[in-house]
Amino acid sequence: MTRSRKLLAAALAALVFLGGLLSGCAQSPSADSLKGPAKEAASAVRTASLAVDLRLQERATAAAATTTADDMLKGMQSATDQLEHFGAKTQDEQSLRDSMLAIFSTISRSLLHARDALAAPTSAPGGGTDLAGSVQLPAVQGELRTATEQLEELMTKAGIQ
Amino acid sequence: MRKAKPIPVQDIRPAPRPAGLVLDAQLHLLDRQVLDVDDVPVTTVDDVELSGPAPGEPIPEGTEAPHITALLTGAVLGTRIFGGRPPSSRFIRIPWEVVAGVDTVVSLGVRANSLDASWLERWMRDQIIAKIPGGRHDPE
Amino acid sequence: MKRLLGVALGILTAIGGFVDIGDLVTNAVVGSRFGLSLAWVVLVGVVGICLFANMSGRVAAVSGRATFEVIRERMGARAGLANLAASFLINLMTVTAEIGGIALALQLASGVSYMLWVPFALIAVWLVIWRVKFSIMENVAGLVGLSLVVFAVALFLLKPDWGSLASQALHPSVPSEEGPGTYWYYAIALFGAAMTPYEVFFFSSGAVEERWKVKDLVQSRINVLLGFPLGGFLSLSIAACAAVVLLPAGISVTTLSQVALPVIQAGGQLALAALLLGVVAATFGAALETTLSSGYTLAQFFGWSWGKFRRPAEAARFHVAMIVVLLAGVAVLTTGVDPILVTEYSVVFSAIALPLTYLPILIVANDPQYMGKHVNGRAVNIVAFIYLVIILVASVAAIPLMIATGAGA
Repeated sequence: MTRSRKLLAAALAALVFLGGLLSGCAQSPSADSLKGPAKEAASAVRTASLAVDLRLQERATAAAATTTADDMLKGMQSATDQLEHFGAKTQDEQSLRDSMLAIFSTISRSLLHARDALAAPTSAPGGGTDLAGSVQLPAVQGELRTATEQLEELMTKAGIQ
Repeated sequence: MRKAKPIPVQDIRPAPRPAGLVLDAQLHLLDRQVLDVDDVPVTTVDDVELSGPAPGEPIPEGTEAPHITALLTGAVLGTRIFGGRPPSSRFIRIPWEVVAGVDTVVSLGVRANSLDASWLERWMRDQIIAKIPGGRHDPE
Repeated sequence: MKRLLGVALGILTAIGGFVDIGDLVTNAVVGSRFGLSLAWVVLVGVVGICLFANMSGRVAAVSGRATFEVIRERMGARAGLANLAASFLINLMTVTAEIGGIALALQLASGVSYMLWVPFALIAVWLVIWRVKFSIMENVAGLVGLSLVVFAVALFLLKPDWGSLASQALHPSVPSEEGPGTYWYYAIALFGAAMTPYEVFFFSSGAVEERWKVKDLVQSRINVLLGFPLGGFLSLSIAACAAVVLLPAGISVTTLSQVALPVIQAGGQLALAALLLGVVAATFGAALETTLSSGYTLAQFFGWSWGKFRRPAEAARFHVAMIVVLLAGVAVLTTGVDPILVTEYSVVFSAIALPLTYLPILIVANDPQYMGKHVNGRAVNIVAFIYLVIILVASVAAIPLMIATGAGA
């Protein structure tokens, strides 16, 4: 009984060790470390675009759309944090990282605008005096689309896309 | 300790066969649910207390066979699994006299409330559950 | 009427158990990243959970004992304790995730911050466990949770390319964006989401709560064969909606709000309302089930009196344990951890713990001392054994894959 228990413990330890080895191997390519935050940011800004579109079509409620924007802001925050902790090894990587950080902050800004615009009431896009849908949402939509394109360009340049 | 000389097989007398149910303590008693006379669960059998000489001591001639004095619950579960034993004053006992029947569950002839083994249940009931409104009512 | 109510138990367990926050999130994540190429895992999971829930229901109906009671008797205190420890921790994780899920859904509905909903969810879940009868609890949560069928409706409204969806499902392959490591990691996660152990504990304890007898076995079979495939169908619709809307848009799901977007696109505010109602009901039901499961497993191992059919004063330790579990879950949530992250880990850990749960059930279902003539038939045993192998492989591969892929990143 104790012998099989020892074997089991040894097998488990071997498994964890193996996993540790594998993860150690997985961390070496440096482009991958940029890949994670870049993809997260891309997903966030596209989600926000979709949410704004749906709000313009009045399919989404203000609550759902603002919650989405809020969630995406948190996602951007985490992506930015990850990127800031990325240790660039070469000059190229450094400039890549810096451009990406710049785009991330643009995206975060547009997400903030999006959240505010989404929170305001709309009864008809393009109508009414102080309604968000009339002016702010389409403008925010444009902002988000531009930011998305910039990010995608950068990602293609970095070979991540 | 000097190792005792092994007894040759042919000299060992067969075990006595008393009348009644023969139980294997490990299979039929340990880890069985204990229900009281109203079929309310009390605890599971965590261990069994036997009378008789302690293990490792020489047995004097003419000692009667060990018999079960109580079913045990509580801290003995931990010691049964991990080793060692608590002092016997720490045992929470269900005396064997109150056991009415043994099959897939161990049935007692008394109410759970009268036993030491249910003290934690009674304590929680009185100190915690009773203090929360609705605790004494049937669910609706 | 009793038949109908009996079927409701199956439906609740299916929807609350199958489609809980774990299924919602995992299926949506998988749909948004892998399309339907992991659909086969859902099928495998459905068949597996049908098989094992049926067995545990049979054990409960024939022997009158719930799963965990039998685990300790049959496997001994040591194995039972190991099983209890693992199941309890995972249950706790799942309770945390479900309560987080309730709060997230309410936030999505109202815009009010998620943290404010957490205490509300806690009190609501506890009140239902404290005062509401088992059968009413099941029926209400089950029936309201059925509004998750809005995912299937949304799928039709989206007018997807059925051919391409079918080919994704029938010819599974790893998408170019992802690697084989993450593919198999999510396969395990999806499998764990489908076959969570608490469903089985809840199902068999529920059978004892409702006092099933041998004559109810037919009903049990109907419950399982109707309820769980329904849950599987809903899971696939969730994945398909994400595959149709989010995958092409390059959105990978990390939040509940993203899960809702395809439904909003398909059916607007009405569909969103149905979705939110369904999500709240399903996660609420699942929170009830997992909390009760933690109570059941503890009480059955230690031999306490348990059951919602007893008034709380007669099952004091049972209720105190559940209160502690709920408070612990909420305490974890107040640290600000993302409940979606907790969910994603809980499904993988569920997969790791599966062998501990299913092996004992298989052993007991074959034991004539408990089952009499209702032991497993040959066919059932063969399939169950195949599943045991699958479960073991998934369980062993989970941690290395988790480490190697960085938990699916």
